[in-house]
Amino acid sequence: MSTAVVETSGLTRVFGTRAAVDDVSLSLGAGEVLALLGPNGAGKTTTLRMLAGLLMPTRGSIVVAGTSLASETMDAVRARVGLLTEVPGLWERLTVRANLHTYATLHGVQDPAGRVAEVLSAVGLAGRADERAGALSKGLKQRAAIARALVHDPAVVLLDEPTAGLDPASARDVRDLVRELRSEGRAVLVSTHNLTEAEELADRIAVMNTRLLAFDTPRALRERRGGGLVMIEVEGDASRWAAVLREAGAAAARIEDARLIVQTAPAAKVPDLVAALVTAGARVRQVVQHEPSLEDAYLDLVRNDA
Amino acid sequence: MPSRWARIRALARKDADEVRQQPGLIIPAIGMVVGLSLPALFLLVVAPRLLDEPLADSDFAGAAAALMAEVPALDRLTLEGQAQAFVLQQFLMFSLLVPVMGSLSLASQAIVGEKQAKSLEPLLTTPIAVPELLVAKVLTPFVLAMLLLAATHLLYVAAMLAWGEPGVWRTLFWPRTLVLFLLLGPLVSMTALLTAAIVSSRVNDARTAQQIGGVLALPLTALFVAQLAGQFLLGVSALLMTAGMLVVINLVLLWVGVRVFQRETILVRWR
Repeated sequence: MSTAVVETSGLTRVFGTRAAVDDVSLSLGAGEVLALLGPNGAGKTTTLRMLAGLLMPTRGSIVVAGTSLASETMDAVRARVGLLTEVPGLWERLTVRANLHTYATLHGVQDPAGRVAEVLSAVGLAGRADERAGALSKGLKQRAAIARALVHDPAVVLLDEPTAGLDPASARDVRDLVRELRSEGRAVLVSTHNLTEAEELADRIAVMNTRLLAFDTPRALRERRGGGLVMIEVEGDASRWAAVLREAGAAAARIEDARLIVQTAPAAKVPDLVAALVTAGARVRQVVQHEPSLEDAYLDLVRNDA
Repeated sequence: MPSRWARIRALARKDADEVRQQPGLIIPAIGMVVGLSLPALFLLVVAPRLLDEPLADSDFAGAAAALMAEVPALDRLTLEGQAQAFVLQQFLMFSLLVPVMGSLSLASQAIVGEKQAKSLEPLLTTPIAVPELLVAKVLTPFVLAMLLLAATHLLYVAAMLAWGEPGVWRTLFWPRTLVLFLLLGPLVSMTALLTAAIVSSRVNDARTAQQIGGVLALPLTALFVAQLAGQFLLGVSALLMTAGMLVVINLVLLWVGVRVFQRETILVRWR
């Protein structure tokens, strides 16, 4: 694991009497993509806003690229973070170039025109730079907004639902951009409801529902659920072998359509189960393993928290 | 890190670019300059010719004569010129509505437009300080309001040169006129801008913000009507006192504005 570029400890934000984010501790390294999952109202956007230096935490700490967030360091934190907001929020009457140039100037970029050309090229919008932002498709607006988040060359990029509402091709383009950001060594945090996207992009996933429910790799989250299902087809009467499987350590074994369905322990246990059946005299025709999905793991976490 | 002024200028220039893209904002403002100047020009130039009754024969001439002690320069004008100068000076108060209405319209759009486009949050991710944001948001409307006020002044000067009695145009450079245009004009414009900024934080469409802020036109209109009905003019000292009051009001509005324009408030409370 690379050194943490973003680190939060006990991060809490209370609005009135309601805690929007409660005791969240996360870390994110350079060249790493972290997906933030959670139901609506789970505090994802509030977390992103705190990490971007827009909101002060009520309790807890945030360190971004070596700078600890405090009221007097918020400018320094903002300089290190690029935030893609949930809505692109472009100035639609202005050209894409004018949008980005204004941001580059606000960030104090040395050569605004050069940097704008660079980021527009990086997001594939060089040819559309002089079009009005309002004339772009939703996907292109999102790319322009990502370019805006990158215009000051931040070490940390926060993306709030970057593919929400995009068509599949545009969503794929955005995911490719995220991979590029990772390959450039930036720390990327993506808030999303799209579990497939999270699994595809993220090195680690944080599931939150106001508080942090889990923070691990996608694989570890799936396995944490307690393994998947294994369907074993044997010759003859399958019911004879259920007891053998239970003795071999299967958490539960039942018969469905003359096949043995086993709720496994971790995947590594499957060869032991098959070996036990063969030793007991069963003739195994087929073994099909169904890995638990991230969706199963996510829903378990969120439902158990409810 | 860019200077404070560089950030303000970048955002104000962006606002100016957006205004240029919206003829719907510019054309009514120019129309307002003409529209608010027409009543004075009608009373000064058109009505006396239509009715064949010079202003010198009206009550205005008597009121102007009473003013002679305070403004000896009137003595150099003809009787008709004195009456014209008096009416013109009364209407100058009315022309302060130009920067007020112009400021309200442009500032409301500048802030509500950002809310509607949801462009405030990305803007707040930059190092811009919120007082800078407030200044940037009122700067472009202020400059435009001042241009509109200057245009109103030029229109009066041109009309008086063309149709006024000889020398009446010079009254548009009297100390009273200069106090009105160079001091009260910017101050009422600033009052309107700060009011628009504060109101815009609470509403979601520019027209509502303008309508609420439009109450500022009432005291100006009331002063104008009182002058017209009472046949008097507020002198330079009264105008300077009014300016002093406006400075205090603007400081209070600025205090409120800076509190309304806080990052957290904008993100969490502005809807």
